Amino acid sequence: MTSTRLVAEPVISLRGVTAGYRGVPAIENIDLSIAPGEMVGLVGPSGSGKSTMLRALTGTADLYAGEVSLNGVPVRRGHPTRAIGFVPQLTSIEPDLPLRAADAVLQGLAATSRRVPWYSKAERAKAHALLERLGLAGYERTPIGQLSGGQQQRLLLARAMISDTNLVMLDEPTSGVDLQTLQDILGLLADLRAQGTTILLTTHDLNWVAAGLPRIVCINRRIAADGPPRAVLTPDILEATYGARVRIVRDGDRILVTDHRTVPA
Amino acid sequence: MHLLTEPFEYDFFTNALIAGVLVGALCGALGVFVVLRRMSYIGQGLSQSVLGGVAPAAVAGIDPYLGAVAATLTAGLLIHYVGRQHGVRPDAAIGIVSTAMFAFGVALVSVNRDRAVNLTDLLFGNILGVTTTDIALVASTAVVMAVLGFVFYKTLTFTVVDAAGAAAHGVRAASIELAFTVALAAVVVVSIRIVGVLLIAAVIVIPASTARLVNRSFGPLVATSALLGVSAAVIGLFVSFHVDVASGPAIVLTSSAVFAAVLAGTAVTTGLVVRRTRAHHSEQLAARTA
Repeated sequence: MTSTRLVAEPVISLRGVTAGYRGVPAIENIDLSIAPGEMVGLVGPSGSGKSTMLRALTGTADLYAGEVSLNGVPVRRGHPTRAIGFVPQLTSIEPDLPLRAADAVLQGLAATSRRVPWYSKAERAKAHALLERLGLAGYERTPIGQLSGGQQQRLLLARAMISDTNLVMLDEPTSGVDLQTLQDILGLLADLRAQGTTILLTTHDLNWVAAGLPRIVCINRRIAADGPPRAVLTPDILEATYGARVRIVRDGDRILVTDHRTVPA
Repeated sequence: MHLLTEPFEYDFFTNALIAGVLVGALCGALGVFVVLRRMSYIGQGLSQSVLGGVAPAAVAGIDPYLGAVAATLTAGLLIHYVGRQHGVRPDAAIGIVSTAMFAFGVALVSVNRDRAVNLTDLLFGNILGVTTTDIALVASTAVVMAVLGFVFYKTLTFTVVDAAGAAAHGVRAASIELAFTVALAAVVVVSIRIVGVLLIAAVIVIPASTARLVNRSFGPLVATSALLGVSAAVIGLFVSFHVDVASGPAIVLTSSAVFAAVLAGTAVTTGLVVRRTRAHHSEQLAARTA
C-alpha cells in the first residue's frame, strides 16, 4: 500500500529518489510528500534507510536518482538549505566534547549568525529562553557530557528550534530516554506542530511513538505503506516491513503491537 | 640569567624563537580541531608526505619549499577523496597516501645521493637553518589562519562537534572540512624547519590533548592549547641551544613533560574529589544509622 499525498506546496518532496553512500543505494525509488504542519513518523527495521532518507533531505547523502526538495527548493549534496532543524541520534554526538549547553544550542545559528567568534546578546537570550522552555534552565554552563541522555536530547531539540525553522527532523529522538523524557519530547513536538512546524522523525518505537502520530510511513529501502496508524499498523504491513509476524491489539483508539505469540488478557 | 640571555647573542636563535612561537601557536590552536575530529594521525600523514615533494624538488634543483607545499596539498586532497571512497576507511587513506609519498621521497633520495636532501634536518628540524624568509612565511600563514579562524569559528566548531547536524543547519560542512585539511597542510609545511617532518604530529596533538584535560569549553581550550604550544616552543628552543639537541625533539619532549605533569595533576585532583565524596557519604550514612 504505497500512496503519495499530493498537496499544493509540500514542505518535503521526494520524487523517485534513490540515495545512499559511496555508490551503494540505501533507499530506492521513494515518493513522499509532506504538507506544512504535518507530523510524520518513519518506521522500519535497522538498515531500512530511515536515516538515509533524512540525510537525503539534509543534502548529506548521495542522490543517485530522483528529486529532493524542501519548501520547493531542490536539495543538492554539499549545498545545504537553511530551512531545517535537525536532531541527530544521540550516539552521533561525543559525550565528552568541550561544549557547554548554551553554546551547543547556539550552534544552531552558526550558518546565519554574524561571522565573528561570539554570539550576540539577543542570540544568547534566545538560547536561554529555549533552554528554560525545554526544562534546562540553570544548565546553561554545564558541559554537555554531564547532562543525562534525556537532557541531551532536549538540548539538541533546542538547537534545532533556535533558527525558527518551519521543519524539524529528528533521528530516533526517543531512543534511550526514560518514559518521562519520552512524554516530554512528544509533548514538545506536539506544541511545535500546533505552531505550524512540520515534523519528520524516525523511530523504532511502534507503541509509544508511532501509534500516537497522525501519519506513519513504513520503509524498508522502499516505502511499504503510508497513512494513519490505524491503516498502517496491521500485521500484514508490519510483516512486509520488518519481516516478522506481529499481533495488533486494538482498544478503542489505542493500538498495541506485540509479539505474535502474545495472548491478550 | 646568562642561560636566558646568551642565546640572543646569535641572530639565528632570535629567528628560531620568532618562528617557534608562531609555529607553537598555530599548531596548538589547530591541534584542538584535529584532536576533537579524532584525526591525530593526519598531522603525521601530511608531514610524512612532505618528503615526497622535497626530494624531487632537490633533485630538480628547485626550492624545497615549493616541493613541500605541492606534496602536502596533494596528500591532503588525496587523503580527503580516497577516504570517502567505498571500502576505504579514512585512517587507511592517511596510511596509504602518506607512506606511499614518503617511500617515493626516500627512493628518490637514495638514487640521487650526490644531490641528496639533508635528511636529518628535514626529519628533526634545525634552528640554525631558520631564515627571514621562513619567518615571513610562518608569519603570513599565522595571519591568514587567524583571519580564517575568526571568520569561520562558529561553522568550524559546529562541524567538529556534529558534521551531519551542521550540514543540516545550513553549514557547508564538507567545504569546511576540505578547507581545514588544506589549512593544516599549510601549517605543516611552514613548521618543518623548526620541528622536522617526523615530529610535527606531536606538536599538533600534545598541546591540544594537554589543554583538553583542564578545559570544558571551546574558546578557552583553543587559547590554552595555543599558549601551551608557544611555551613548549620557547622552552624547547632554549634546551636545544644549551644541550645541543635538535630543536624538534627538544620541543616535543618539553610538550610531553607538560602533558605528563598535567595528567598526573588532574588524576590526583580527581582522586581527591572521589575520596572527599566517599568520606562525605560515609559520614552521612553514619549519622543516619547513629
